[in-house]
Amino acid sequence: MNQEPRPLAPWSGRQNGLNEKLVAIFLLALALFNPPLLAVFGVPASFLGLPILYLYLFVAWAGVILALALAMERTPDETPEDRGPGGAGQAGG
Amino acid sequence: MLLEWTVIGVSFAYLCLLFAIAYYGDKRADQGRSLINNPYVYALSIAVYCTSWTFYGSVGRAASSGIHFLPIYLGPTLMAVVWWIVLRKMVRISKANRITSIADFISSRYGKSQLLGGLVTIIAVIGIMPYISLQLKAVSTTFTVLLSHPNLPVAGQIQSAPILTDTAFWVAVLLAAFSILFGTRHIDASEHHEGMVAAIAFESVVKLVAFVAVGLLVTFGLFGGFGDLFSRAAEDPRLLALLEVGDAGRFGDWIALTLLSMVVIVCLPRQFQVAVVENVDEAHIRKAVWMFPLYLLIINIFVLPIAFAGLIVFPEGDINPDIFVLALPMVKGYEGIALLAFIGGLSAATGMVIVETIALATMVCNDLVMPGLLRVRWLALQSRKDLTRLLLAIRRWTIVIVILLGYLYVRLIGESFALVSIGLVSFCAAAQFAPALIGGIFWRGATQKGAVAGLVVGFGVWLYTLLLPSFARSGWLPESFVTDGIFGIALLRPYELFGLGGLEPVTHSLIWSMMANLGAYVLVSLLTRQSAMERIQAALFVDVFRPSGGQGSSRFWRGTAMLAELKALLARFLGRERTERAFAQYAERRGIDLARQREADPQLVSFAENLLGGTIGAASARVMVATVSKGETIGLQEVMEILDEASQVIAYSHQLEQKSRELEAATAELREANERLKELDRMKDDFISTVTHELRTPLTSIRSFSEILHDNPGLAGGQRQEFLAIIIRESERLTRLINQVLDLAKLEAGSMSWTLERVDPAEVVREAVNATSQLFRDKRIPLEVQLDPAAPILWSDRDRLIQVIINLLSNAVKFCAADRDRVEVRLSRESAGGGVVICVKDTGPGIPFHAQPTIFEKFQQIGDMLTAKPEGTGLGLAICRSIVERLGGRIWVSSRPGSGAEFCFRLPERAPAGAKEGTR
Repeated sequence: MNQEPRPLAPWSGRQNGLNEKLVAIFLLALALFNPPLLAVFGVPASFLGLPILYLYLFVAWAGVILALALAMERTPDETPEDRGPGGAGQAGG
Repeated sequence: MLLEWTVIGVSFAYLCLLFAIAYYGDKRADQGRSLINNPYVYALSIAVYCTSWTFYGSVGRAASSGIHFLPIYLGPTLMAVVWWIVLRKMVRISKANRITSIADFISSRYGKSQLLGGLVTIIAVIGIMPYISLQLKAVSTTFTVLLSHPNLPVAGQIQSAPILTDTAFWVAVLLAAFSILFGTRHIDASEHHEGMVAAIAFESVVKLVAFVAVGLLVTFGLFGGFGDLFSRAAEDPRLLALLEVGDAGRFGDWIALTLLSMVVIVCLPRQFQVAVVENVDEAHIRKAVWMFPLYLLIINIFVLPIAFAGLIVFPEGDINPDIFVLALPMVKGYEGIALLAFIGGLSAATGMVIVETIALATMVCNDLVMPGLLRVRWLALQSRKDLTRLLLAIRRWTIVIVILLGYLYVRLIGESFALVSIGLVSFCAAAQFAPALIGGIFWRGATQKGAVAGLVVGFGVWLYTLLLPSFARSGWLPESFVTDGIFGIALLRPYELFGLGGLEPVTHSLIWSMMANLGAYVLVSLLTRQSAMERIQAALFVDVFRPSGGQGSSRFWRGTAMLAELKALLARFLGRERTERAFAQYAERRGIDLARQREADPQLVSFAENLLGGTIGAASARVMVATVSKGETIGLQEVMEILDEASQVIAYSHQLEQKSRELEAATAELREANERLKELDRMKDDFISTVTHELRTPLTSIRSFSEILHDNPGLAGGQRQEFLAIIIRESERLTRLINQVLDLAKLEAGSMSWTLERVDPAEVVREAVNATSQLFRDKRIPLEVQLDPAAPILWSDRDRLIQVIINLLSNAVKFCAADRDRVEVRLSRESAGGGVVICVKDTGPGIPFHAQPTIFEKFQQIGDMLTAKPEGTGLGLAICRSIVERLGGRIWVSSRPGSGAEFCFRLPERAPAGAKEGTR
């Protein structure tokens, strides 16, 4: 299963850097989805006929999902040992 | 035209299709060709998050608060970003420990605590009750709406009917029956409800398609696209206001809802069920991480357009915005779409209720009822043959009771709240699990008491600030409870606790309950200690990714069990066939032949516990296995004892080592002392023989001359005189010898009397020189005296000092050749210690190197062998050394054979006061 020694904190030092990317995207999303950025777009204006706040939130949301998809799909697979057990039934090691 | 029977018929057909899918899914699972073993099904099953709340309630919320329906979906997106870190860990832990529910997870983490499992279960049941009622309310309302076609019921027109004619009641009964059919057809040792998951994934597709269909119809059928819809909305100032976030207080609500929905996406029992328990492969998380947020995005695109369209189409505000999704197609004559919308809403509601009740049933059965029943002795559950039927019955009844509770809530609360408001109450309850759940997998030091404290306190605050006020608002508690606070204490008003006002009730409750929960969790964890079991479980959970992690708690079972008993136990819960299969697989994997074994080793016992845990929960499984296992589990006491024993052994061996070192040292000392004793003994013998020899020489001489005088009376006068002189001289020598021997004996015995007084060393030296001047004159040896005027006055024994110097001077004279050699006596001040150094130097023959170390020993006379007759007694230097050492000083000699010798001694300014003999 998982013979490779791992660091204590699951987000620290991994070869493929996936966890670092995820934390970065998380912080980005946190900034995008909350004030004060939210307040900047919270004005009664429209762009291409769409309310700007509505447009902003969905575009930002889609951007985060895209970044997430790229991070998950483009980052190479970890070493086989990293993979968890597929399916049930592994007790007593 | 929608007839009642059409609606009912289509609904039934849909539910039957769902059941068929579930049945097929189970069948495929039994064949080993899993239907749900792909990431898309996994992602879709997580979308069970979208319930009637999303389907109907979001539009209702958007119609009243605009964009504020969105945090509920942005939060889960945020959490999904870190799922690969958090959720994957939970999945790994759950697989290793065969976790069956969130209650099982938390209870396992904190030492398989039955208390904690029960507590989580109770909180979940009470907390989720409003959520289930929301689904019942939504289905029954939309059903009524659909039937009243083509008219639309005005808000508030739907009155609660007597129970038997109440749609909501029949919906509840139907959903209960359906959930029972789905989730409790059989007890599954593999923990997976594959058929259910397949059906849930299908439902997610249906509700998405239905909602998007309605959205497209409204946006592009009723209006001319997004631009047209929004520009029409912009003409209405009422709608325009919905496009702003609002003031700072609304920002607070926004952030609170984001955080709330962020944690509930893992804390809600049904989300835990589909995302963690039903996960078949960790790798599926990879896709779900971005597909689930994408699903949320798509289903939310049309929420605002539908809400605006509804507000434009029904400007009077007499239509409940919660039913816009259904009402818009209806009034415009799109009956097909309306029916599809109803089916979509139905699928959203059924999906939630099925998964939620199954999750709750598992929890209630495993963590509440079974532990209780196992404790009741007269039921004698341990000895019953087949318990699978009992387990199923418990779960079925739990589903019925949970759904009826939801129905009860709907009857009590009725029309008082919008869908989203009801749902948020549940969200806030589920969020109470977050500290114990998420903290538990990252913080090893969190204790069971901390988790209990956090849950109790957080749940209490939730109860007081959200659930009870909702009863009050509906008239089941006095209204004054909300307006004036309990007992009329304004500070305790449930919606403005401690004067914290200006917030939405959910935000307010979330702030207080989370603060109390987290605070108690952390504080109590820091102040309490973990039991041995807790420590082991904490390590298993936190370090699940470590190589040694995730191996179950096999090291916890010390004892063994009879294989047959173990099998019998498992068969009672899992059935004989399944048990045999599991054991056979185990034997095959480990390469052992179970048929030849009578006893099960700790690993097998642990495996059995794990297997049983998958059915009845970790805490109960431990109790059950303990009944057949001979060995006890290791208690904290024993762990401590083992540790104590080990440390005692270590301490003991340390002591032994030390003892043996001490022994060696003592032996060496003894050997040394023995050597000294031998040496002393030898010296005493030498001393006595030397003394007797020295005494005999003058005695012999005296006797012989006395005999001569006696025998020859007629001896010539001159000769006679000469002989008498010899006799006198020898007698003197004898006296001197005896005196010195006595002196030495006294010195060594410490019985010499000392008179310490102020002594001028220069005067002492002069006196000694005067006393010995005759000797120098006799041999015509010049004596040079150097006195340092800076020499300090000493506190010493004057007479003894003079004796030492006289001894040294006479010693020098003795070895000096007449007319040739010279002697020098020098007194100097010692710069370092503040005393004086007195040296007597001669130019005599010197002392051979080999004799120097022993020169101060008694009777050590150099040249003993060479010159036939020694001049001294051989005691002078020994006496000198004794005196000097007694006076706190030191005496030494430096000499090169052939070029004289120099005897020096150093005296301190103050002689030590004690009469004790100086160091030897």
